[in-house]
Amino acid sequence: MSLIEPGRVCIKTAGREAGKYCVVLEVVDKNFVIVQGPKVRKRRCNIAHLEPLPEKIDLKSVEYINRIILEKFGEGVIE
Amino acid sequence: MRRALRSTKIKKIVKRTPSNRLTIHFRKPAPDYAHCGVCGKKIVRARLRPSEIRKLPKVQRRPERPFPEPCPKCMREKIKELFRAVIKI
Repeated sequence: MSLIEPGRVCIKTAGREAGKYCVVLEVVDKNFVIVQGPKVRKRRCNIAHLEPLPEKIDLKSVEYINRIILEKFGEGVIE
Repeated sequence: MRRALRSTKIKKIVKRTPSNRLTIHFRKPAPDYAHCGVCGKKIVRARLRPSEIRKLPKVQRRPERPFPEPCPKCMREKIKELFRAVIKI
């Protein structure tokens, strides 16, 4: 069982969106997942560029995901 | 040629003048590589004089990620430190 699964909240650690919160939407293969967040656009992302958090979120809709992340965590580690 | 201009850092270009005479033009040497402030590694960046860097678009002058000064590896370490601080709470 791996930590990276649909609904997992993560922090991106690479690129222009580094330090921002996102949620795993689906697992593409053993290297890549599709992520989205309030300040992260929907895109494919390497698992090596993610740091998983203990929390999980229900995948209801995009607005729901963004609202919950903004309420619970904020936009990112670096404001 | 002046002794100071014989350095291999200074590029020489042979030009033909309007009066059909060959002259040597000297180009200014390229500046040193940029280095990471944390680990001291070389950073891949435009190796141009400051006046030429100012002519570039903003995106080509610096990386778009949160910490532009250190190298990408040290930036990831920095973000992981911040991330660990979040986890404790």
